Formats: sequence, structure tokens, C-alpha cells
Amino acid sequence: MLNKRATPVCTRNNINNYGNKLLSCKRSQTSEAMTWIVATLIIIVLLGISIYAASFLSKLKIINYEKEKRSQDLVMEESLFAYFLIQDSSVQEKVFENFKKMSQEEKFYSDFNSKFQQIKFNLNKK
Amino acid sequence: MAQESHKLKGYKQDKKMINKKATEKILAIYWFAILIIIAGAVVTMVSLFYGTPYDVRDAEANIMINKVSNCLSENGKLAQELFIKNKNFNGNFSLKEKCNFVFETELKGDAGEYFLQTDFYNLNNTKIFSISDGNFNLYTDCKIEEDKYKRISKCVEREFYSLSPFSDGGIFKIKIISVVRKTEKNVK
Repeated sequence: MLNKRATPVCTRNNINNYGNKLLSCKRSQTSEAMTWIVATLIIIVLLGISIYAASFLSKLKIINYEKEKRSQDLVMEESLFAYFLIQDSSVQEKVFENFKKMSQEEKFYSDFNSKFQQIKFNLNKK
Repeated sequence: MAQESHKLKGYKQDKKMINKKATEKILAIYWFAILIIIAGAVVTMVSLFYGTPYDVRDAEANIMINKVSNCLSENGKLAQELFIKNKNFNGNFSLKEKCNFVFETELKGDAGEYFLQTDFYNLNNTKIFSISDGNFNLYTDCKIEEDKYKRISKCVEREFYSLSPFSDGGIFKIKIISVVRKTEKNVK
């Protein structure tokens, strides 16, 4: 029985029947090549994603002084020292209102209340 | 017949050997190409990440503010040097000199990369006095809305309270504006 196909199929029967002739198994060759092409594409896509991620991360290299949690705020402490030196209670009240407002607006870099209590305690101790 | 069959077998074996060698060569080239691509990508990633400098302008501007506040006020009281004999503000007070700032950078022909301004207000929010130092042109950059346009320089504004060094005990609100340009060094 002759094979009518233009390209022979690489089945076991065909290989057994036409084993003595030079057969080219084009389908299997094509699928093998496809595997390599797909693998290459996957590697290239993964590398592309990694390069994009590296460039994205490089844009985040900003040291933000305000957002970093810190236990000290020299400017705020300077204000608090001045506050405790004020003799006039009405002025002191007015300044404290401003402190509250600034604290709400997150103008201080460290916790205002804890620092206020800490300085107050230290001054009373003396 | 047997001889012919033997010849055909030998030819097939030779052909297989040649094919195997060619496939190995193509695969070697392929692997080499993949190796080059991966190495190139790794080099690109490293140079992208480590080639971009850290933007420390915000931290620098804040450090300058801390230094100014420390220089102008000590333990809640303003420095005596800020005033002249009749308790008026000293117009000749230089932030650069008194607070030991060095505004000169390595960039030649540069107009200045820093600007500092200190405004003194009374409790009614009336501006009484102002001192500034550095490149004033940078200050205009702070007025640009950052959401709409990208600013060239970083501006930080902070305020604090301090008492007069004299016995009358007047209190001042001091607003410090610190501007750092240094775009070349911090932004790629």
C-alpha cells in the first residue's frame, strides 16, 4: 500500500512499512521547532518584565523625609520649648491651638502628643 | 539485494550523523544567543537600578531647615544676633554666615543650587521681618503646583514658634522655606 500523503505521517506503522526509505517527519520537526520558539519567546517576555520592573523600582528611589517615621522633630521641639517658656496663659492657649491645628494638618514629623508630654514631664522634674 | 540494502543502511546512518552534528551546532548557537540575551538583560537591569541616583533633595531641604531653626533659636528663644540695640531685627543678619552654610557646589558657572528664606510673623500673622540667602530664582519654582507640572527643585516649608530673647517675652512664628535644586545629581 502506497502512502498518498505528500508528507508522510510519522506513525509507528508507517515507519515499520517504509523504514527502508528516507522519510522526513515534517510535522514532528515543526512541533519541535515551535517548542523552541515558544520557549524563547517566554524567556524574552520574562526578561522584558524584569527590565520594566527594574526601571519602575529605580524611579522609586526617593528618600522622603516627611513620610519616614521618626522619633525626633527638632523644629517641633523648638516650638514646644518656646511654648513652655510663655508666661501669658492666653498667649499660651493661642499657641497651643495652633499646635493642635498643625498636628491635624500633619505638619509635625513625629508624634506631637507624646513629645509634648515628655518635655512637660522633663521640665516639671527640674 | 542484500548489498543494496546494506548500502542504504550505511547512507542512512551517515545522514543521521550529519544531521545530529548540524542540530548540535544550531543548538549551540541558540544557547549562546540565549545566554547573550540573558546576560544583556541582567546588565540592563543592574545599570537601570543602580544607575539611577537616590533623590535626597527632600531630606537635604529638611536638614537645612533643622539647621536654620537650631541656629535662629536656642531652647525656645531667638538668638541675640538677630536683633540690634533697640530690639529691632538686624537687617544684616546672614543665614549663610551665621548658620555656617556652604552654598557653593562643584557645578561651574552655577547661579546657586540652594535658597533659604526665613519669615518672622507675630501672633496675628503679620509679617515683621524676613531674611533670605541663596539663589532667589529657585523660590519661584516653589509656586508651581506640583500636581500639574513637574518642579525642577524641591521646596520644603516649615514653621515653628520662638520667644524674643528680651524680657518682654514676645512670641514669633517663624516660617522657613528651603529650596534645593541639584537636579543633575538627584534625578536621571
